[in-house]
Amino acid sequence: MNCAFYQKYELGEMDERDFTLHLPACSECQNLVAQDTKILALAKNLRQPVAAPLLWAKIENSLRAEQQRRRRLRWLNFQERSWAIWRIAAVLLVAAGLGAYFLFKPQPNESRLLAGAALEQVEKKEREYAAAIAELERTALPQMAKLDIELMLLYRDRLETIEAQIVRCKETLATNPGNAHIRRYLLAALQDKKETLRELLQLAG
Amino acid sequence: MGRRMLGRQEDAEDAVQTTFLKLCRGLSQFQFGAKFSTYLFRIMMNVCFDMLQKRGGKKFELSGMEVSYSPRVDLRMQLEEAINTLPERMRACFVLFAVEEIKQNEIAGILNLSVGTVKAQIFHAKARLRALLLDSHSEVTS
Repeated sequence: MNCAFYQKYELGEMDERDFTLHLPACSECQNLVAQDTKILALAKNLRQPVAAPLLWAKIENSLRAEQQRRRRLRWLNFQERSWAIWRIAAVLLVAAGLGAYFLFKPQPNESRLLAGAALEQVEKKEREYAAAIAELERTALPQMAKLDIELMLLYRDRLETIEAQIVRCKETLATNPGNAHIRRYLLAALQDKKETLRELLQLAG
Repeated sequence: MGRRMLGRQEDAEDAVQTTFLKLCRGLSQFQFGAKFSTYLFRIMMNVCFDMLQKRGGKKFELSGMEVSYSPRVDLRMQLEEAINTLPERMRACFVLFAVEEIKQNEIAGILNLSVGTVKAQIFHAKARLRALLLDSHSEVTS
């Protein structure tokens, strides 16, 4: 190829007008133009719609799958967000619960005061009960001599056992006065003593 | 265009499918001042280049062509094969220009090249095709 005009024209280095003026005089450029025109015409004919019957169905399917994937991702994001919200809510709830507990927790002084007042009442009642039983004992014990020796020994043993129970309960209550369990034992022992003394009085009387 | 670029019908269909998926995903990024066809071709060309890169330059025989003994059809097949031998970017420029009849400045937009480069690529493509078809068909040369 000796003539460079066609190349210059094709690469935009030469005006179309100049090339048009040059073309009638150059057979080489005429030949190249003719060949390229044919190639381009032939290439234009290559553009044929290719029958691909399943292509659109495939595209449709993949677009639908993509849509579903996006929806799933959105749902997962939502779930993740809602989990985060639940976690935050749980933390807040726990914090609020702890706050409320510490805020409304009964003060140790108040608790001791209440326990002390109740204890005082119980102790007062116990003292009164014990005093009444002691009064009964004072009346009943002289009557014991009227009983048979066996019966007398039996009642004396029984009263001694009850008394030992009462002493043990009182010892424990001296170190732990708030123990309601021991107080119940003590009450039961006192009741037992009262009943025994009454029986004794009945038998002697 | 996918078939011209990739050579195989199945690959071309995959490319079209991927193009639509990418279009669907990236539609929000489309600037409405731009031409939609340019945007679509750009995605398609990128998909084709990606597939060619994955394929590692391996070329396939053109398939799905009807077999005919007519000299005109034979010439078309020769041209198809000749186009398939062109380097990727040159082939893209030529196919977009000659087959899809897209203007050179649009091709430059699609392939992210300068107009000068596109012109040069098309010129060299035509020169190569001329040379490839020269021996086999006097119809082109005469």
